[in-house]
Amino acid sequence: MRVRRRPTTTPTVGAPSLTLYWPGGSWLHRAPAGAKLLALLMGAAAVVAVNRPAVSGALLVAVVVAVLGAGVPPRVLVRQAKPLVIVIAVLTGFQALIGRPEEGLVASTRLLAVAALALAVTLTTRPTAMVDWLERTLRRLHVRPVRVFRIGLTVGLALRSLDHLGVVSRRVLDARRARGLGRNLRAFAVPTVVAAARFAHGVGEALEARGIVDPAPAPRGSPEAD
Amino acid sequence: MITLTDVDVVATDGPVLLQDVSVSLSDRRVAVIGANGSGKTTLARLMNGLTLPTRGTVTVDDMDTAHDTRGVQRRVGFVFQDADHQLVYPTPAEDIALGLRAHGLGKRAAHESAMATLRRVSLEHKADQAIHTLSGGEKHLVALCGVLALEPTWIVLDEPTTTLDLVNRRRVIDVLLCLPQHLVIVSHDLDLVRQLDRVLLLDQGMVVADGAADLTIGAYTELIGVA
Repeated sequence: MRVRRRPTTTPTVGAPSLTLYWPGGSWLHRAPAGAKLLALLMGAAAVVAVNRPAVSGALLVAVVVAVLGAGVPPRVLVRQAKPLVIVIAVLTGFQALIGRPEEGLVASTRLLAVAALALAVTLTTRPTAMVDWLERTLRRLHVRPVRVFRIGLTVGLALRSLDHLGVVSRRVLDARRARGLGRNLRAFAVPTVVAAARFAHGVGEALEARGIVDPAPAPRGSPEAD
Repeated sequence: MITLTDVDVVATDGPVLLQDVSVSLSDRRVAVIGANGSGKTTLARLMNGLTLPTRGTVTVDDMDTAHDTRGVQRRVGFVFQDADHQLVYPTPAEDIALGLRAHGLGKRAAHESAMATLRRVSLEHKADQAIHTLSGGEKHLVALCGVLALEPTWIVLDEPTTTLDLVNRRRVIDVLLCLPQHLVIVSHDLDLVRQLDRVLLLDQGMVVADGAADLTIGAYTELIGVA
């Protein structure tokens, strides 16, 4: 019998990350995280201070052009912005209904401009670059090194948990579909919460076993399965 | 040397997980086998101080796990069955560096050491890839790297090959068998167990056989009635 040889490496699963980072090497990607966060802060402040839709609109266009120029596909930008666009549409519609369409336009362009700025930062900045920046800033503010490490650890853990929960929720959704449970909310919520709790427990133990956090006062004996 | 003396472990809700276990481990590669619920994982967890004995003592190089947990954890690395739980940072390089930084290494030195450890298992090209996109075998190897980077004397592995396909299983075993550290491997994988120096067989919380692989595996198959 002839057997076709397969590559010796296992292909990786291209599951999308819940953290928004879109890899790339553009100038926007290479810009320091601190500078981008500062630009976000200043942009948001400018949009709030200058109460003119033309300014917010111009900023919005500039940011969208920069993000697309950085190689982020339009569909990614649209997917991330979609929930906000729906909220803005409802807000603007409401303002128009009560006879203040101009205010609706101002508020919506402001919101969109700030959201685009925030998206530009998260799409082009590695999460850990932001954690590094946070740690550096805290150190400059003379926060105790142990506390800085813990804050960085907390943010890093949150990012990893988001990724893991993304994978878990996709698995649970598949299992729900396979069992023919359609849109049954309980069939999604219960296994996802249980898996999240298991993950949290496992990570806690791993942190302890690796000496990353101080060991908790261990109970004598624990019901671990083999 | 890891020494368990007159160890009982009783779970908080009543069941006896281990009973009257006394063993001394100084061999390079030790396996722990037994049916589900026989106490294998509990035995492994005792060695790292994750579980403390209800009665008796567990010492690692004369350090009591109940009194010097930090010191014990520095000497005994633990690789969990589910690598997903062990990998706590978003990418392999960051995760391995995290353990090193927690033990006082600077950021740059930790990163360099993490990369060097990944090179040992030929995974340096995955250093910046998101953990959740790695294959099962790669995750196990990264979890092992997180432990190796800290240079422990002992590494305890809880079923390191259970969930892996043949290619990844071979890859993990090849790496394990080349390590200079003392290994304690909890496993159902009898082909792997056969390659180790000493095998402990557990049944209902007791060590019922202890010796060379072939003899102990023979006792195990007889015990579960598949001989």
